[in-house]
Amino acid sequence: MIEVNNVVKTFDGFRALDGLNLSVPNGAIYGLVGPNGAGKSTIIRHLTGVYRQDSGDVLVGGQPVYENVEIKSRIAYIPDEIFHFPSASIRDMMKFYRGVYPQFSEKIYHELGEVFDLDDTMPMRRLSKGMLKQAAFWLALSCRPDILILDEPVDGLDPVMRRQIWALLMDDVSQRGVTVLVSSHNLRELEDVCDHVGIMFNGKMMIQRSLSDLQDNIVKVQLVCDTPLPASLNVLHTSSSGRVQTLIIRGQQAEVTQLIASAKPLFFDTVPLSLEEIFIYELGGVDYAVKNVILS
Amino acid sequence: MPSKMSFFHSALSKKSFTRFSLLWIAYTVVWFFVVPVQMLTYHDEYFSMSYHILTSGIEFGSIINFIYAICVSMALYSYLFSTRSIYTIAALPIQRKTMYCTHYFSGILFCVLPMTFILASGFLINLALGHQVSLELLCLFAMSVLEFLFFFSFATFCAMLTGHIVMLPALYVILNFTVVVMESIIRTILSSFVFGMGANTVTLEAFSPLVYLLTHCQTETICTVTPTFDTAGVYEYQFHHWNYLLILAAVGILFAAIGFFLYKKRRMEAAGDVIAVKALRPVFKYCFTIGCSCVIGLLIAQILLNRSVELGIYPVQVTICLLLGGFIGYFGAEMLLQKTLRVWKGHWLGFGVFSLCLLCFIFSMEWDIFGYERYVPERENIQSVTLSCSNSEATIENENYISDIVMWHQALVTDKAHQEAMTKADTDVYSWILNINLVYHLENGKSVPREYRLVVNEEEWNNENSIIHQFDSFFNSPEFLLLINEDLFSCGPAQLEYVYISGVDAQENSFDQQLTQEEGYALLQQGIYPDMQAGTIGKEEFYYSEDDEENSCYATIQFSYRTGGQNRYRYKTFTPTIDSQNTLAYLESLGFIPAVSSDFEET
Repeated sequence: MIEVNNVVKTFDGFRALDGLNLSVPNGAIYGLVGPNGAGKSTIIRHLTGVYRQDSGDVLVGGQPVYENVEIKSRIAYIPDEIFHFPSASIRDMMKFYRGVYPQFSEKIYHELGEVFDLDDTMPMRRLSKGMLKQAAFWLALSCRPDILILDEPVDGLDPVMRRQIWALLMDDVSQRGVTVLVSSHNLRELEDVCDHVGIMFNGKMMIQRSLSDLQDNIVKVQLVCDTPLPASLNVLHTSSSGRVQTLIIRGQQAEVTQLIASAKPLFFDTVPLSLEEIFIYELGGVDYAVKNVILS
Repeated sequence: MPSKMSFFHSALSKKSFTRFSLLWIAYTVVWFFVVPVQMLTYHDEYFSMSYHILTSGIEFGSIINFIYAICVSMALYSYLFSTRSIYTIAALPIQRKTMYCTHYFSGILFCVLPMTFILASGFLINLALGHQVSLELLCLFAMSVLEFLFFFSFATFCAMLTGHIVMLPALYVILNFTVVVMESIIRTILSSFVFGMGANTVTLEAFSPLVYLLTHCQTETICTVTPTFDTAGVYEYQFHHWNYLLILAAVGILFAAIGFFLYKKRRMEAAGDVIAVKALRPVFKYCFTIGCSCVIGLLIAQILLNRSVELGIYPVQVTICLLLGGFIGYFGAEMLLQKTLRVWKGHWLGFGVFSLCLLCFIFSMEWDIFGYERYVPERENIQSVTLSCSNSEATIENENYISDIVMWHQALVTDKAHQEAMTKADTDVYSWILNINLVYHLENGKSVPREYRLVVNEEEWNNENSIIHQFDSFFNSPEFLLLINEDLFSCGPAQLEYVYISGVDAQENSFDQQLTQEEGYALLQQGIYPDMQAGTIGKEEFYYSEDDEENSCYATIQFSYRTGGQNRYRYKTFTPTIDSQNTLAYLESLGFIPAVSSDFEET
């Protein structure tokens, strides 16, 4: 289990993490989302032991990550920008990781070679961005990690390879109980794979729940109603097209339905909410909304 | 798998060796050509193979290790300077202490392994060709490893200070030479403001190892059999500066230890920063400011005032130049630290503090607040005085002469205003500059050095009460000249390496000949010595008048000699005058009659 308790990190006076709390259960696929500059990459660098927090705790399995070789050897990390030694091939990097990660499996490496259509003797500097990502997954999965931390993992991959990689990850999660923490701006894709989601803003965790809880706690309603709606409805966002109004309301679906029905609308219906919509409307409440700017 | 030793990671070390193989291969090849290949092809008739090996170790070795160390350091620690690499490398399951020690020890092996190969190759050639230089080869190995140990450790320390790949070599070079350069520049500036402060003396070379190794750690030549005209001498070559090398290596280890603690505390987010250690940022800023103030300020002053020395006669202008240099340095440092050009707001207080300190310092120097200029040691506290002037240098222990020097020095200090006015008004193309260096060796073991640069013109020269005239009467007295040439007159014939006479006779025929040791000795004892007693030869020329020109003969006599206690040969040159009767008589007995200027006037 990954636990981040009240972590603060400051860069030259700028508070990048401001008392952040985060909790990832074992075997979960946790989607970390947030606007640019929210602190997602910063907390990932704490979780991989690169940064040391100013205060708070960053724990994996109850132990601090920083300078903890035992814990770090169970974590594989794929950063947004893949690093490899200049002029090294995938095979060279494999030999290096084999010497560094005690659980590294050459058998898995060779098996994954069938999946990734890459020449492992070719210098990595010649690979495209998408091929580099594939190579990173190849090497990371060969390390047989218990925790996989991914920063914008499928950025640059073609749709087929995306599906392929997610399938491999799902397999690892289901067979070995691997915990995956993934930071991405591609919310539609996260929605398909994540079972837990955390939304960060300004170095803090705004919401952190399982995806089903999150989707159950916010309702999108379309209705036509001439009478005023009950004041107890927590409406996050309103828009209208002709007489049809679309409301985003915080609350359980049954409770919201009951309240709206009490206003006797001419017509109303609840519509499923996507993760992207939840993200937009939740952050709209903290002054992070799409601004309508008209360029002259 | 991680190594069982927690301070060393074999996979990481192996990777370093394979990744940067080009470096150590190039290093090996260069040394291979300098030592083993030279051993195969060497045939220098003046210097033996042992001299070549020892000299290579200290001269070539210090230069190549200085360069190689920074290259190795830049390669091994390159991952620290890019965010992309550091986010991957620091995430590996390797502790920082293991990472640091592995890279450090790998770096040391980058020198030790190639040098072991060179040593083994040298031994094999030694066995095959019978050079008998095994000890010298071992010395070479030790020299190179000790030099590299210091330079690499220092480069490692610099790598821990900075987060920028370009700053690493810059910092390494600057810090390696900073003591010598800054001492020289500060002395130049101070000598401008402080009467008697030497600009040319450099006392802290030991803190700039490359400079010290190249200037003070030479291979010693020991003459075991003195050469004669018929037989060649026998020489041994020895290296006696192991203490300095061992101290360097120990200091290097200290730097490496500091680097270790800096690395353990290093903020990995500092990749790309000029100074990675937060606490050292103000130190860098003010050191950079002082450095720029001295270097840039002095440069601007020299260009604007069109003078390379004596800038102190324009104290206001020099102060403004130093402030300008400081301004460039202070805000330049801010720009480097903050990685932006917009540093003008909110940083003027720091520059104000610097400016105030600089003004106070210059004021105290200009007005001699600390009494440096006025200080002349008490006669009874002086053990000896080393006096250097023109081409002569002597250490004087005679009480009467020391009293004369102290009295003259006191008169000079009192005459400071006049001397500075002369310097300021020095536009006479016929004036001479006389440099006088004095070092008082006190009874308590301390030394008091002073350097003076005096203007000599015709008016001063003819004034019997002038400082320069007083100095001439004392320095060029026969007794004093005999004293400062005492070591030459104490030489026997065997200690004269050569005596060479050259000149022109009245018929404009040039002559030059090397005398035998016996002839040279006879010339010294029968000609020059009695003439010097009579005050007709050996005087230093502080000002060249028409009378001097008329009296000089067109001949020079050069002695190269080495007395028992001296390791190196010394040289003395004499020009006889028409009054040097004994010297001219001896030259005539050898068949040389040098011309005088009147000979050519008649023709």
